[in-house]
Amino acid sequence: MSLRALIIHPNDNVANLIGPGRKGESVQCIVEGQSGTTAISLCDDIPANHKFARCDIETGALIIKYGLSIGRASRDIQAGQYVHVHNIESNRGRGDLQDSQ
Amino acid sequence: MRDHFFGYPREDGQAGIRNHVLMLSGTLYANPTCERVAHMVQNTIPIVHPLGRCQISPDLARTFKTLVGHGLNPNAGAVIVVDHFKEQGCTADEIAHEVAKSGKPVEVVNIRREGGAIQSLAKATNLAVEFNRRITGQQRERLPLSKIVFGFNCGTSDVTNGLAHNRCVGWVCDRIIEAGGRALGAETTEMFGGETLIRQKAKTPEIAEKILGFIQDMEKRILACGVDLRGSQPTGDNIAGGLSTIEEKALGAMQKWGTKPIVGALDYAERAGDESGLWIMDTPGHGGESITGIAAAGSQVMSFSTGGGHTINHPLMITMRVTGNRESWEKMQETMEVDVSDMFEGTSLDEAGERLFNEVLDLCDGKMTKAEALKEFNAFAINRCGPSV
Repeated sequence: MSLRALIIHPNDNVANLIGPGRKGESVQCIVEGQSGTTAISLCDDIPANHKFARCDIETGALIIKYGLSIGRASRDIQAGQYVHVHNIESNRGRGDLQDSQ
Repeated sequence: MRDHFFGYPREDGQAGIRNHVLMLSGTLYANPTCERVAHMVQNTIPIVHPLGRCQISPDLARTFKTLVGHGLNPNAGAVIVVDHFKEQGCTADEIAHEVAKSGKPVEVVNIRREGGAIQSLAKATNLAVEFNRRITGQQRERLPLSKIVFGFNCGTSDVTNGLAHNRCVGWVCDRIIEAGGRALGAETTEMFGGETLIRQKAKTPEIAEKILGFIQDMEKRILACGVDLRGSQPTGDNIAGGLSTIEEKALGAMQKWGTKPIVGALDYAERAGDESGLWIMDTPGHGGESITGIAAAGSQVMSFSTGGGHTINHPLMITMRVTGNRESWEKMQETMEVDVSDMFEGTSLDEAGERLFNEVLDLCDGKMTKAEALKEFNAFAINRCGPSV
């Protein structure tokens, strides 16, 4: 079976891989509740079930999953790149940012 | 679909799915008595903890409410409360007085009054044997699902939580509520970012505001610490499992809430009201503290969903562990009951949800969880809001 990824809400800009993926592999993206798939090529190795970007995302832009914000990009992210703590951050519980606000 | 289970009707209208004698410790110095009796006497469950002394009054009230809630939990057929000397505001006498209102047999053992640890152990052992003789003749009866208070929680979450097993839990909540029962969720930290969903799901704006208040208060306490929440929430194992932020963890966690309206918001360890529907309690994300609050509210059975696998088991509230992560099932199935990882290979939500539903009802009928068979009692933990004093 070819590599697959799940997109929970049509507005999501990240997708969860089903199983692990290797850089250069093509992934069939399935949007929950919709028929048909779109293909995307991975730019990084990705651990089992982790996320990658469906489209280019600029620094500071919201990361959308479940149709809602799960944080923002802390650097520019390209479509197919691995998305995790190295390139996105939370907007909540940020006591570390209190002094600068 | 099954519409009944076989349980123990209680005088106060609740229904137990177990009929245990509960050894309820009022304070840490009574813990050994409770543990020793539970070790010696069959069908006898210890509730032990380090609190009940030198707590500021809101905390002591929370400890008291949690202990009373466990005494009232319908899985306890009889209760023995043990304390040490006199813990003002949380004595065994005060706890027993509240528990006795349920009509179930309750006795108190005070270590000083009995003449020491050995004398109190002898008294408590005799009482436990006597209570077991008194309650174990009760037969299970056919009862409607409206008697179920289905708790749900998650821990050691990973990205599979929101994609697979949490959705099955939501499916079970929906079926229990359709049958007139109640579902009870918690974990305030795991609602950060889900405010839109809460407004949509709450039956009234007042209920939504109360839950949003829980979230604001929790976030204020976190911000006051001056650190980034990440690492504490999501935890290290959440991050290893692919969850990048608390919002992502929260939105995955809230897949457990199903599709029915929220009919009430509860403070920590508050008893659930009678209305059928989804109830939400203010608890931290800490698994033990969260599920202890749910048990105190009167839940007999709960689903604990986990991506990474878990050993968690509340001593009194039957705790079913479910995962949608095949690797975690293979590594941790010694203490887990249900695997729904086949959802990633095409199994439908209806099929996987019904598998979970059937397991819940089997547990209600008396089938043991693996951790119950192992006496893996590890998840009684009372939440606190202030320091020891």
